[in-house]
Amino acid sequence: MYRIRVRYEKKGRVKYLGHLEMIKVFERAFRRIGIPLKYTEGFNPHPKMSFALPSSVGFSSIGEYIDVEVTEAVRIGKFIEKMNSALPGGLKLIVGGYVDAKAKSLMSMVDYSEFEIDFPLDAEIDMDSIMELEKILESGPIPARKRTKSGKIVEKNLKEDIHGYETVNFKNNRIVLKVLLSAGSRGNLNPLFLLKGLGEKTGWNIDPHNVDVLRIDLFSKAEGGPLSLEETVSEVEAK
Amino acid sequence: MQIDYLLKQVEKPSRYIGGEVNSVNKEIRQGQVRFGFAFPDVYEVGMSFMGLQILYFLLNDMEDVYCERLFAPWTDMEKVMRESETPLFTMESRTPAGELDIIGFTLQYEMSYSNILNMMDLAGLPVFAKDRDDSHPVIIAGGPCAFNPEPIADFVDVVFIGDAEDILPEFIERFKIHKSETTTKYDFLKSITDIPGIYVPSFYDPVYKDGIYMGTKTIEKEAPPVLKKNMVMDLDKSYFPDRQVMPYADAVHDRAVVEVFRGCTRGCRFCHAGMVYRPVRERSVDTVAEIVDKIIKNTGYEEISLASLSTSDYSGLGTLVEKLLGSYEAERIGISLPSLRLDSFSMEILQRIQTVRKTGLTFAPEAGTQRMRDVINKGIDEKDLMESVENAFDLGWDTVKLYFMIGLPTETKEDLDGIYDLAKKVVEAYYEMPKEKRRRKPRITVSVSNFVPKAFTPFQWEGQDEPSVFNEKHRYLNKLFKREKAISFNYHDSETSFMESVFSRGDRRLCDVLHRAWVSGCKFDSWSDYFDYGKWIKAMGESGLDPLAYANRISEYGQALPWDHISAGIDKEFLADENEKAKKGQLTPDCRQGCCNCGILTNYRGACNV
Repeated sequence: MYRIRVRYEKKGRVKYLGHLEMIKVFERAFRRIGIPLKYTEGFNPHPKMSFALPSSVGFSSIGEYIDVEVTEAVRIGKFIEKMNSALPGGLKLIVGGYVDAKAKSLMSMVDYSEFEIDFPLDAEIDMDSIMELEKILESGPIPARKRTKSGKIVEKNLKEDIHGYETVNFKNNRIVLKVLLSAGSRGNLNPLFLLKGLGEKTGWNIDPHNVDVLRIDLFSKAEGGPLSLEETVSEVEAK
Repeated sequence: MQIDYLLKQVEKPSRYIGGEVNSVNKEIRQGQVRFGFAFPDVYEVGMSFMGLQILYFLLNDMEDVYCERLFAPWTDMEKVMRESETPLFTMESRTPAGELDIIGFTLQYEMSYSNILNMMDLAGLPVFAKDRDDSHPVIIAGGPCAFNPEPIADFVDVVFIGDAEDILPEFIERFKIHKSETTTKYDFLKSITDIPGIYVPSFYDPVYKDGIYMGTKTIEKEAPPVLKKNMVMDLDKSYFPDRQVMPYADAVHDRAVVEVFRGCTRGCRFCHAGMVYRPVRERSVDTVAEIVDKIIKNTGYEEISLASLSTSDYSGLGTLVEKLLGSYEAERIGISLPSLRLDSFSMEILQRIQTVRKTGLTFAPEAGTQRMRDVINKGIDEKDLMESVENAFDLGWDTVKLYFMIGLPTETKEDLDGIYDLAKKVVEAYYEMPKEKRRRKPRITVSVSNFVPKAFTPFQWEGQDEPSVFNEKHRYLNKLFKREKAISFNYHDSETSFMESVFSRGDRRLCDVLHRAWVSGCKFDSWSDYFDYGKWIKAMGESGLDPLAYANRISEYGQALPWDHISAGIDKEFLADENEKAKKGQLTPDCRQGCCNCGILTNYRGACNV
């Protein structure tokens, strides 16, 4: 048994696919290209595959990851090439390789997510507003109310989940902000939720439907700082 | 950008994105015929429809045609589209529907008609055909409900009666001439009446006397007085796509489908499709296997559905199933057979295919007593049913769905009790199995639908129960089933069935009703959350029409029927005879056991090879 790990992107119309739809799209693309899939047991066998914290519906991404298990080794280069002609437009595998069959699951490795958020303001943007924004991102607090699973409403300071930021650009009433946020099962901050918090803090009116979010990458916590999940797929061909 | 903004505001954006695997992306060129295949319901429903796949690829395989898809946007999407003045757009190139040359609506069920008007309006088109000119797309319609086109006659320009795949190319050729010579729409419509099955409603005029329908006269010499359905004679040589657009958004059916035959030999007396799609035309085992092979390669689907009105009746079923299992078992591709009959042969087939994947089982005894099953000519008895069910339990199934109809002609209380008794016997059969075979409690669902008399069936002269009578019967059954823990009982809404009945046997005066209902906000009427009975009744009243006169009337055999100028190939005398036999509980044998002279043989020479 072999486990292939691939980084891929989703752009354009396919960014609106939900996770279950994405699973089907991959499953059937794997079947079309005819790789020797490993199946689950039972009456409704499914190919063994798993994703790393799929980005939300409506977000573009160049940092999605998927693991798939095969019963025989295939050539990664050829595999990526075939998959890219089989997947619907907007989905593209970027890089891949084999990982140990017993390696940690993709999902469990995720600690941070990096986003580029492109959002509009209803006011003219000048250097002052950018400085105000950066000051808030730097020292907080960004209070927000969050409903817990048990239904309780708790106060949160979103600043705790911001691990890096950078104003990339601002023009024509739009700001492009790059942020590194907590992600995964140990804490997760959705960039749209952050924007809501920022809007409340600053009094800016941000139309949530006019926000473009691009996920750049996913990271693990490591000694030398956040480590891109792509680092775990560097050993390219199978042994 | 604009559409992107809308998509971020709706619940299921993937309904509107297009770009699915195998969807067609063509360069838009001058001189191309731009066709919109329109399904008047939401994407998930429309994408589960096999006819869409056939016609979509048939048209797109033509070099100078670009066929794109249109669906009814769900209400959340419609709201933001109207607010932002975004017209209905195609799934593929996002072209505003009003810019297309032809829009073709499929008529699968009557309760989708209000969506047709709504979609035209969203496209910025006048809904009445008379208000559209040469600058607008030509609106065509087809599908099973097209056999009685009168309730939508004022809205569409052309109706395709019967099979369409072999005449669409000719229609397109004529349209190209019309487009290049810039003739008027009127001249174009006159130029196509010689194509078999093409009905131009504006060339016909219904006559009423004292509010009673008397007949229909032609008002153009090009219009044939009786419009015969078009029929594909040889299904084996007829077009079937080698790929399918693979839907997003949790489509109702998302699997490979091949039509193994069209038509049906059984002759159930309530069944519209079984009558209008006569005779049976089969695709050969080799052709089906070849098509399956290509579709599987081009889609990666994990399930193949062998579609027809009654797949157990496919003469090559055993051979085909063995062949498919041989090819696909290793790839874990399952076979599903919709519409299985309750007989031992079907159970043998089931036993073979269940080794791959086990799905829920659905049986349709249709009626609770043998007398009633004979009235409808169902041709199965309780022994068949019980043996099949016992067989299924023995093979490991514990989830069984039973379909029944209530309100059938001659129904009595005994027939209702029969439904309950039969369902109970099914549960008992489960507990009669040795204990070690029972893994858990059985799950039996009894689903009851309300009989709707349909045009072109032997019951077209019969009346429907009034909604209050249906409600009473539902209550009665509900009370019986309430005490059965193993059985869950559900039924259809009486008022929806009532309006369905009005429209299925409606005349052209219903166009006004439909228009009024739509103006007052009716849409998605087949969705119980949206069906607004009050609005429909109000619209009927405003049009001065009595819904009971449509739904509940019992007609004399000599009386003119609003669809008499359409021919489905079966003789009216045959239907009348069948209705009389029904009343006496006499059976008519399956066509395969001997010709029952329905008229197909004489009206379409060489078509019936049963």
